[in-house]
Amino acid sequence: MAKKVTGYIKLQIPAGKATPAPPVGPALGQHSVNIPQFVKEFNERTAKDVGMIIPVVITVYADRSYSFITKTPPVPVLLKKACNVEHGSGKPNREKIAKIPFSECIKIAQIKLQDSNASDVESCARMVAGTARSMGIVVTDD
Amino acid sequence: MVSDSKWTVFSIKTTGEASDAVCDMLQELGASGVSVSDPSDMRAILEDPNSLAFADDDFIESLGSEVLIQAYFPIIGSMLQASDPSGRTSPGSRERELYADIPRSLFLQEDIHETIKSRLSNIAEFLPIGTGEVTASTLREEEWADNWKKDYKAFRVSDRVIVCPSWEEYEAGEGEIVIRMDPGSAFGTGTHETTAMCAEIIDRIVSGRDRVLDLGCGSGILSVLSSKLGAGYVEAIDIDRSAVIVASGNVRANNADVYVHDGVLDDAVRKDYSLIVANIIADVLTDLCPKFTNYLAPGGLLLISGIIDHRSADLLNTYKTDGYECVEANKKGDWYSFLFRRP
Repeated sequence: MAKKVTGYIKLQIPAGKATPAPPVGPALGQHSVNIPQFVKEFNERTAKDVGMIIPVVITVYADRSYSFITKTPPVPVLLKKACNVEHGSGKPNREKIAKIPFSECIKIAQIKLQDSNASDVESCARMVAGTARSMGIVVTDD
Repeated sequence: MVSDSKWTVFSIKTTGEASDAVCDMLQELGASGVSVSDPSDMRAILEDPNSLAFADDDFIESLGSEVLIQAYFPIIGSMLQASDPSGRTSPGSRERELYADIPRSLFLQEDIHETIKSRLSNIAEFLPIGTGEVTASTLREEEWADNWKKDYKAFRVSDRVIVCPSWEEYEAGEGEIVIRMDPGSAFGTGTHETTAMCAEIIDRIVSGRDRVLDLGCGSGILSVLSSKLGAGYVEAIDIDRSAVIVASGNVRANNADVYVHDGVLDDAVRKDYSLIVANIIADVLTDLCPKFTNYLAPGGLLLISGIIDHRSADLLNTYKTDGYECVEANKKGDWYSFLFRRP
């Protein structure tokens, strides 16, 4: 059955631990989606990933029903994991916190390509490298 | 019930390339949550050949091209509360687990606003951030918490039973039983497959002789239903105190006879229930399996629900191994429910 879309939203929320508080409540409330129902379903589907921030894209249909798909972790999360750091640098142009070879950026780009706007792995890898630099991670030529 | 909680929302216009970096920056500053409106996400869904979704041209045009990111900070007095992001992302640290919910710091809105602008200009040195415009607004819970109720109308949940929200009028037809529900912040409007499957079975099997326990009662919909169908004794338990408050309100609104209290299975009053209903989730139902026997009368029935399809086979096997006879298995959408008989 074809379903008419009337709204959508992407949230970054902790796996298995969503609550009706923002950003979930206002994002879904504005589209008249049953907030407690979404919270239960999201937490059940993501219980195995507790500890991760999970991007989730929620599509709202004309009958106020909804569907949601979870995405790959955000690029900064993958970069921090690859560099084994907890935080990015607040002053990325002056304070560098880690180094990453460009080949690692390509690996992350391969994971993210399906969820990104980039047309190919190379342009996605350049976006990953730019994100790394904006967090104070030095990108090296391998 | 809507509280008077307020949040400051910082809205940032940026590009798809900078989106992840900006979200991460906001989370590191202690935003309690981040939402992203990225038109490319929606276009990807609409253009997917396997998707059944479609949209009006007006809607597609309204998407525009800019990414809008919104970050939420709770307002405490005249200050904004920033949480420690590592408390959420590093569950391995015992100290952070213990203190993750305690406010780490309170800041002036102006200071957070300026910090966001300054961090954005840092990001702009490495990624195209677009206009990078930052605006702040105040959001009250009352503005969104009750919106979805507008579309929640009276509906038939089983052969005889109509569920009607407390804010709607409904004239009962012959043989119909109307239950009034205000789910508030607790799960269980009856529209979800897991609840609907339980309601259908309860409608068929509950009679005046039954002693029913509703474990994880949420809004109390299944307890109220059991009471309305004439069960001799109904008890509802939930681990979440706010659910107990909502359920108690629903019991009163329906003049139902249900003992509602907070707790877990070990807090159940009786040891001879003829029916235990547990609409929870697969993990919890697996853990509870060996305990249910202690609370069911011999030959008593156990109705479990809230089981997502990929967990159903394991769960069924767990209960069968424990000696339960599967009387009925039902599936709706991605969800299963099972009715077992205690040996």
